[in-house]
Amino acid sequence: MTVERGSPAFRIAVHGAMILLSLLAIFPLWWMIATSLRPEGEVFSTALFPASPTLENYRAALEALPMPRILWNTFAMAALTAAAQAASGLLAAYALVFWRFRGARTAQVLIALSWLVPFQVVMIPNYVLATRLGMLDSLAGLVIPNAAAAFAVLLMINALRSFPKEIVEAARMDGAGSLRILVEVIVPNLRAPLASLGVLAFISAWNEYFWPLLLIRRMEASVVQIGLQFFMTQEGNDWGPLMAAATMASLPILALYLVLHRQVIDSFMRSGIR
Amino acid sequence: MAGIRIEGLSKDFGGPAVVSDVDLSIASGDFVVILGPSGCGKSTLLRMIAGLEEQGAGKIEIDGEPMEGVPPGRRGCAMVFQNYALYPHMSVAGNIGYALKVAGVPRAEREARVREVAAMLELEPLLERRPHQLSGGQRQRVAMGRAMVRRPRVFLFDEPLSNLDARLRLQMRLEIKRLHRALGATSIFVTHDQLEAMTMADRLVVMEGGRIRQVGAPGEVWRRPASRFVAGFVGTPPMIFFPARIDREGRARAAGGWEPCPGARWRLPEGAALELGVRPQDIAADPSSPGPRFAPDLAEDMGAELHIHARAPGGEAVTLIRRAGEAAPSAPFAVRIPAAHVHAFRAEDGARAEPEPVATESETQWRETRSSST
Repeated sequence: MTVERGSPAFRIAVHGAMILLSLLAIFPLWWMIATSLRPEGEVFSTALFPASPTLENYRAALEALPMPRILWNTFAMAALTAAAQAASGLLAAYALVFWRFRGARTAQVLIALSWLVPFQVVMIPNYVLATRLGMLDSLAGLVIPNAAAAFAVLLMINALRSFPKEIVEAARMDGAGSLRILVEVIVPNLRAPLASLGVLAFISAWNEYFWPLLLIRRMEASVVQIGLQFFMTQEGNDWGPLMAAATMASLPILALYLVLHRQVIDSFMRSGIR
Repeated sequence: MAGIRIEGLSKDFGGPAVVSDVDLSIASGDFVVILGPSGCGKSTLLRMIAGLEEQGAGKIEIDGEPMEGVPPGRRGCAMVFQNYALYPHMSVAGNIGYALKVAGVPRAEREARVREVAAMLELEPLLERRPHQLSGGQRQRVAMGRAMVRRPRVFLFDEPLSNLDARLRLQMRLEIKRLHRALGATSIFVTHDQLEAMTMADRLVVMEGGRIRQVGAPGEVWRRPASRFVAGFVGTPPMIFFPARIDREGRARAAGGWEPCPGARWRLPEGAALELGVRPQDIAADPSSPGPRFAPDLAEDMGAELHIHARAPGGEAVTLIRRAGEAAPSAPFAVRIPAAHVHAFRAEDGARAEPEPVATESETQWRETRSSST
């Protein structure tokens, strides 16, 4: 028997698969939150809901770590990184899409290739450079090496390619220079792709672990992903407070995603990247 | 107002030339229409004048100033684009006034000039709207306003009417002509629509394959097309052609030996290949002609006139135009090109080949006696 598209059986099958996948995606999140609410003796329980929920783990996490401070650090780092990537991506893409110059094609290919270079390859040179520039243990050291990203450039190239060329030409006829066209004509019409790039860059900077781990020594200058590590010791992991801190670390991201998820998904669908 | 001089202008994009060796001078205040099929280089030529495309070889002068390297905003040209190219995030007033804002014109003066232009184009009630809230015709008018507000030396139009429906197109055509009369600025209008070209142009420039094929008043181009291409491109329904060869006496004979245009002679070597053309308005149905019989196939009633499409067994097709009320052939008919209306083009290069002055009665007789005696 063939199942027709659009038939009830087909729809039930599709929805069933979707629900299963959603549960699979949501489960770790739920487990993190559930564990953060369990008292110490119950941490290894396999029950879906905590039997006697408590905020004890949150108190422990907040006592052990300067949570507000490192959350603020992380926020500043992620916001600055996202803004820098959006700005650098926009400028690079603008030149590559709207200007005809020798080597434009090569530059674009090199940028695309640099996206494929794994972080581990550039980590040591970047570290050495950052140290020499005195950026150890500083916000600048966290942001500057990530201020330009190939992904951001490629996403913006895609957005600008579908921007009507005639509008840019009309602005040139009206006497506007390149920078003015970018700021006054293009950017106001590019809100959706810029917003989604901002969100993506923010999330990925927020989740950054390796680079801060290399660069940051003092807890006061640290970011939240490093803070989590505090609860993982050689004598074993302190699961309750760890999950509480992890929940606090993910809440801002979840909130951001809930507000802007439509833009992010739209932009993915349209750009076809990733 | 400004005159434009173009000399030896060529352009390629790394392949074959898109515009090659174009010479054109446009008098101040002229309305010039560049007509040609798509891909003929007309838009590229316009964009080079605008400065949107770097000029290749050659010279462009506006008011005697060479334009090489002058950015688009400083040439004194304003352009109206095919798809309007309005700034989507700005109001109508913002769109019209943007060039003035860029030029640093103080706000009060800017607003006054925007209002003045809006009044000319009847856009005043729409000034606060966004482009997406406007109809096609209104957007077109905003695009015109954006060009006018700068008081440019030259207006450039890149197929500005092709996105409009037929009725609006006619209306905008008249409106653009009226504006041109009122402002008197030199205008260059690019189109592939020959009706638009004929009706709007003071001077018509026909382009093909990157080259200018003919320049002249529209009526002149229509009456005396300089080449086979121009003859076939200008005119609706298009000119009808009969391939022919010159015989010993200089008559043009079509396949099968019949003479489509009896009475006309050419001073060309025997065997020279020609194409004889005639406008559907001018072709005569002639029962005495020995040529192929054309069977009426379709008749289009245009109201004021009737277009009769007919085919011969050999595949040749003709279109006859008859005024409403005139008798239209219903049975197969033969045709003749009246000698006064024949257009002939050499097959090898498409160049126009004028027949010798129409022979008088006695001359014809003389020739006929001479040919029968030989």
